[in-house]
Amino acid sequence: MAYSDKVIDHYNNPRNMGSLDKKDKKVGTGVVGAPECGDVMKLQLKISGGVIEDARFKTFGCGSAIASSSLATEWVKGKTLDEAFQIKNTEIVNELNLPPVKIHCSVLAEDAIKAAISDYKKKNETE
Amino acid sequence: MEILSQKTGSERGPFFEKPGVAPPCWNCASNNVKMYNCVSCTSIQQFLHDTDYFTIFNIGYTLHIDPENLEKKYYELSRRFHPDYYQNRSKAEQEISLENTAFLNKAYQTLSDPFKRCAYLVQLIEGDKNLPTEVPAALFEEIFEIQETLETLRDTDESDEAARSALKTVLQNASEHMLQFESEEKAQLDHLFTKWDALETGRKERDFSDAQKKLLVQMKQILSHAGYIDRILQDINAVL
Ligand code: FES
Repeated sequence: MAYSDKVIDHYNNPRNMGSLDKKDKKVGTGVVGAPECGDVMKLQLKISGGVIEDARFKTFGCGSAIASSSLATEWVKGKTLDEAFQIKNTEIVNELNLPPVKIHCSVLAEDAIKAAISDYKKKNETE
Repeated sequence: MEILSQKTGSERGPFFEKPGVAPPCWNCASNNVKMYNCVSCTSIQQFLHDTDYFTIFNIGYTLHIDPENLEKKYYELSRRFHPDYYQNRSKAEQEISLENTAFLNKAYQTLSDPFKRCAYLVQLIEGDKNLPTEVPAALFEEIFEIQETLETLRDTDESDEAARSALKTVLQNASEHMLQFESEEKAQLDHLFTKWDALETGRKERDFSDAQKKLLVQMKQILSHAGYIDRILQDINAVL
């Protein structure tokens, strides 16, 4: 299966790869996986005043999953939590031209954003 | 020919259609059809559209399966459908014998493996595997750690033998730990199988009690981990 140019670009030059401090109160961490293929993804958001100011990811998976998470970190920066929560995997599919068999890879990225946001909320609601 | 255009193998379904009564013989329209053969014209009959793997072996929807019994039934049915016996029959019969054989092989493979068997049952009942995507934090952490070690190994120069063998030792231990975890999960699954079977009454309809559906939720939890464990073990084995 041939990857689209955009996928290859993200794969070769992943944006925002790495980690943020998990213990930082401002950081929300989402870890998700695809049980079918065993790929795993970690996505972290640094939030300040309700706005995402930084994002990082680490994905051990296929090229499409890496590209989806790389793209997701680009997209969420500067967005409010609500806006980021609205990001749909179908938008990622369109942007990256993913074929049907690779849709679950983009779902992983959407789920990771949501998981990171809810982790952040959980961390901060106890105050 | 209508009957041959039916879906085959794993594409069969959807499953919660009413379990079927054998339709009339496709060849002579007789209603006297016994166990895959027409009594009137002796033509081989195709597996019913809604047949599932458990039904063809006539073992009910039980999850503990005696491997010897399964194997015995598998050989019986294989002989019955074997394409060699149909060489001199019509083209339609030859095709049915091939299709049935393929379906039977798939059924045998699936039911022989406890994880696959259980995943298949889930799919039968829920129409989809529907595996949960959350993974316990501890398992995830371990997987990430192993993946990072694998990455370091890839980035370590071939000539640095000492560093490489140290990393490989770490990976070796990690793989043993994963295998251990896998066998614990197998034991848990086995325990759930026992509970499930105690609730199985041997009826033929696929209507399962709420208690059984609760067990399914727990089984799915375990099944959802299997993919990650397999994958990480493969990744480790590839470098060791
Ligand atoms: S193949 Fe599993 S995430 Fe892409």
